[in-house]
Amino acid sequence: MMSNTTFVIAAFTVTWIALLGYLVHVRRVERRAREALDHATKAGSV
Amino acid sequence: MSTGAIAEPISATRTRGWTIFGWFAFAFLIASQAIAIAISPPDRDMGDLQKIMYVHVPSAWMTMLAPLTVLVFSLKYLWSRREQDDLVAASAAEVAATFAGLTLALGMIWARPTWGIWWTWDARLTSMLVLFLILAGYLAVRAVVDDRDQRAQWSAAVGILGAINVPIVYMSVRWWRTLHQIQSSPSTVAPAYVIGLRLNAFAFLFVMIYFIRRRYDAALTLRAAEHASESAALKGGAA
Repeated sequence: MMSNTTFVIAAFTVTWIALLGYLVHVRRVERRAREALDHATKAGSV
Repeated sequence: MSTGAIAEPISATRTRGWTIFGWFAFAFLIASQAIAIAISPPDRDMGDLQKIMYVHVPSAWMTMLAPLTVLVFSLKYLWSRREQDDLVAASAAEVAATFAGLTLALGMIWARPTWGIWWTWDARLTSMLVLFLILAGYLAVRAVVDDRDQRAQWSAAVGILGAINVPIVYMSVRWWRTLHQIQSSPSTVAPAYVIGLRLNAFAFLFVMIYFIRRRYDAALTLRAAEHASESAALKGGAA
């Protein structure tokens, strides 16, 4: 039987995993977008 | 073919400003959680489980607030066909889906020790799940439709449908007999929990604004890359 504290810790842990996970996702999208922009700009200037 | 103005990637100075805001939002969240946990006494019935309210309730509020952002910018897009409005709506929808998933997960974690079950087809839980599925549908539409205008129009329609569901989610606990308690707000919770709830609600709001802005910046950069790539292809074709 899990104690109440376990559920409280689980809730806060899940929250931080979700928020930081989404932040990592956005940073990845940003990096990919910046690489795509650099690539397209170089291709346009050639 | 898009009729809206081509979005430019955001300047480095403005990005730095939002990065500082992001640090502030997360620092405020850490402080709010610490204060709420420190000052709130155990609940008479739930004991320490009450502390889940500080993450579950603000997350639920953001799940209802973000689709309203989707609604406003979807309507703006349908009215003006300005591409930036579509990108803001799409960014808000992705953030809304994240908060909806988080709210459902936190609800299940809270339900297990209090109700004895992880899930029940209660009106509040079911309507929240429907909202999550609509938001997932929104993201699916954006992933599978290639034509930019068609994608924006179809996703705007799905976004409006999702926002229509928000008042149903909110009122579900009053319209139907539910296992879920009535809406938690500073006026319905015990005075000892009001400050913690308010602080965490603002912290989640700041984090949500930061997420939408960061995602929108990424979408602008991606759009600028697509535009540069199309221009390069046209140049290559003309040469």
